[in-house]
Amino acid sequence: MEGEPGPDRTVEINSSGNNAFNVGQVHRSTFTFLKNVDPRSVVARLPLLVAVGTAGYAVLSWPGGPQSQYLWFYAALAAGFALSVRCAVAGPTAVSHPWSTAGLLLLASALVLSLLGLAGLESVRRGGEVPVEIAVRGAGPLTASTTQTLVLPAPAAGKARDRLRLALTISDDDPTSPTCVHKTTATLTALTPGVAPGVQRVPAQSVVEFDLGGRRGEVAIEISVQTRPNCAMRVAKADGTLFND
Amino acid sequence: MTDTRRRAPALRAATAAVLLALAAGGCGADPEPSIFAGERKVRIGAKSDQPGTSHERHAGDFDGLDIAVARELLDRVGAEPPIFNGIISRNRAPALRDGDVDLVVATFSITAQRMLPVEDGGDGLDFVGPYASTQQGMLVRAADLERYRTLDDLNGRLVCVWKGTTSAEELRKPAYQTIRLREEEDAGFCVNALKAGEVDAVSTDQLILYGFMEAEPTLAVVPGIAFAATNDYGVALAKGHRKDCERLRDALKKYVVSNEWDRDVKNNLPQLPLERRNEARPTETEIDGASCRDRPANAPVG
Repeated sequence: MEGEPGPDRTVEINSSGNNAFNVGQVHRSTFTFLKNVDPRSVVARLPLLVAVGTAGYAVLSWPGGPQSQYLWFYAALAAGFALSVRCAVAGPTAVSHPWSTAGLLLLASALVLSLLGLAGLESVRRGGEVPVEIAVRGAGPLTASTTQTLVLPAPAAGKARDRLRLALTISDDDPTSPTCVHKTTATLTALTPGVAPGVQRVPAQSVVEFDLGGRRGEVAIEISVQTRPNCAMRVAKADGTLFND
Repeated sequence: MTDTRRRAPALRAATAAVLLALAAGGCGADPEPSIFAGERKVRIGAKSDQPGTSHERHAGDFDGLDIAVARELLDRVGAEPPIFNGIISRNRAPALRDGDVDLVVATFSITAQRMLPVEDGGDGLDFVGPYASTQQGMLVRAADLERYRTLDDLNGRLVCVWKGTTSAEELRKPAYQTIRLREEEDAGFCVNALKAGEVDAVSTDQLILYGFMEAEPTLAVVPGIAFAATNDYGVALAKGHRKDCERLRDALKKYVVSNEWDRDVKNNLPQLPLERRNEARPTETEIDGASCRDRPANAPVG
């Protein structure tokens, strides 16, 4: 089955020295190899190529955020990778001629699962949860007569979402002083127009959601506390997550 | 085959032993030994030098609001009458952690730091409380009472506090930097220094100060000075007795709404004005929010 190169393709270039090689021989070998390649074995390895490509793309463009949103991606890619390896190992026999139903099914499943993984990753990248840093502006402790402002900076390109989830913890400004946490609630007032709800009252440790009303710029929320006289509190944690419905 | 046959009974015995041990571990062993169980009486750490709140008149003979609360709660959970041991403020948490006492009922303020587990950097205590609440105040010589109406009148004055208290921590804050501080080991030293004219005032919780006022007619609480966050007194116990803690909490919730609580406050702090007594009474929500927890609970919204 060895192929014979045509006379017009033969170009002899001689070289000398320790690393001498014959380009004409290389050319012939490549041609021979390509001629001998069974297209079915290329097809059998295609899903593996897609799976590895998807994994590489995921590493390079990882969007971040909670791991829970990647479950589908992990599951699809892992299954696609496993089936792809099986296809690749089986080689041409997986898609033996005439194309066996089982072989085709395996091939298609491997390909579809890897592509589903890619689609899942893209979905998270475009609409998944994005952790954001919330800045707390305002000097001194939070008391019954003072306020502070929570500021969500304008998200980077591609990171804008419809809603904000805010995990808030208000603690005693001085943990060695008598605790006021169990006597304290907070009121969050959206200072940025279009953000809803405009006002909501929450406990000291709470998770609240805001509809950003399509806003893509900075969002400011005022925080005040309802507490006992002489209680000094502080915003110990304000973790933000942008997400879509 | 012989070897296998010889090993079989040993294997069966070992398996049975393991299963028994597992059963004992799963069902019989109590990871939370009760401080109310057994013959031994509950040991309570209490202050010995605070008349009205916790005072040792003679050796082993204690009285005051803390003592009344402790006796009432233990009676309500069906425990034997306790033994009281004198304790100074800064030793309250170590005495519990070291197992020297089972409970501390010693005008002990509930703070987030004290209720945080040791592994999280806290003092590792559970609280049952508050059983009474009070703001910080000032005790002065009765003859000087007219000089003091607001905190500003204490500017440049020497005020005595004692170590290991939230009152001392409060007066160390920059807001009170115009007040000069003298720190003593415990209440008795400060009160003696005030009587001797060595200091101008003694500062701590108003409930404690009204107890001193009753015991020492030459001293008086400044009526217009109530400052800092409200101190909530709790019964403290080392973490690891959550069921006991919850039993005491449930008993406390019934006690604070009863006439017995009023009786105990009136009997032990007769000079406490009615307005202050009403402020001192905790609510059930406050008790739920601060009792038997590693961190204070959320306040109800609405």
